[in-house]
Amino acid sequence: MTAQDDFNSRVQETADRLATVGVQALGVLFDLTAQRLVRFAATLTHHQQDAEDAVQATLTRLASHPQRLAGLARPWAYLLRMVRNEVLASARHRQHCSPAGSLADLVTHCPVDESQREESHRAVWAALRALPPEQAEVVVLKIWEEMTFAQIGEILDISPNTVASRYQYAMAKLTPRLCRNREVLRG
Amino acid sequence: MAEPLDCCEQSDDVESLVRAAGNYLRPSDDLRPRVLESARAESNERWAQRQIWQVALVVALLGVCSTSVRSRLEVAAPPSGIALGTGAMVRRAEAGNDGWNNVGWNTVESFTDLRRRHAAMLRLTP
Repeated sequence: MTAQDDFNSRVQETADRLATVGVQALGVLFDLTAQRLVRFAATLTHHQQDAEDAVQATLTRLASHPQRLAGLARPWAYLLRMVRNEVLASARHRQHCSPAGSLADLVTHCPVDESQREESHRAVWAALRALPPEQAEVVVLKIWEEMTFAQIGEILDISPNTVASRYQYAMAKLTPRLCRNREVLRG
Repeated sequence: MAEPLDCCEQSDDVESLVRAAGNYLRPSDDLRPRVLESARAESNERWAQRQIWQVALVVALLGVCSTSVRSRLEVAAPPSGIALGTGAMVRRAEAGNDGWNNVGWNTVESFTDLRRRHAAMLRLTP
């Protein structure tokens, strides 16, 4: 069983528990999924506060209707889709104006032994934010969520070929940008 | 600050760079209590709404049941229109309650009968 399969089954167990126990089980689901949900939403909103609002709205709605997740074959994919819909809906109502390339809104965590890589991580986030959202979300789902193009297509309601195409375009933009940044870092 | 990777031309390396940044962002500290608080508030609100609906349903059912029972009791023991005086019959007829519909018709019939008898008595009087 891969780490992703293990994660999916844990989400499934927690979703079933949420449907049985109710809002008391929401804390467990939050601990399990919040970091991934927020980072996914943050690539779409370009602002962490908006991303967290979307995650909060999604989990609150889920607590009101816990049966939505229970019994689903892929509850994690459904949860990602819910967050994405929430982001798209709230984006119509408000817009934060972050300066282009600014990462000031991000709440970050970098262990001491990885502090040398912090610049690299910031460069990755800046590069992701420079991408169009429809390409950034494909990169996030492919690399961070380790999903196949078909699975991503189900979440985004597009064909696997379109997903693959967006991914290639995104990587073509990310590669020179991250290389350039690495050269700068090396000085 | 230098990165150990040096083959940026390869997209695999870019993928590994992106993958490594996966845990860089973390939710802010107040997100968890915010989510749990709003979920509890939402849950309580839904519970309260459900209670209100249940109480309203029980009250409506009680209303329907009491009306039905009263109507059945009236049918089981209908008032005898002939025996009543005309004033009493009119008062009963004017009550206008649904359960008294039959009494209204009984009153009409009683009046008709009473007038017929009065007419007969008048005809018999020399």
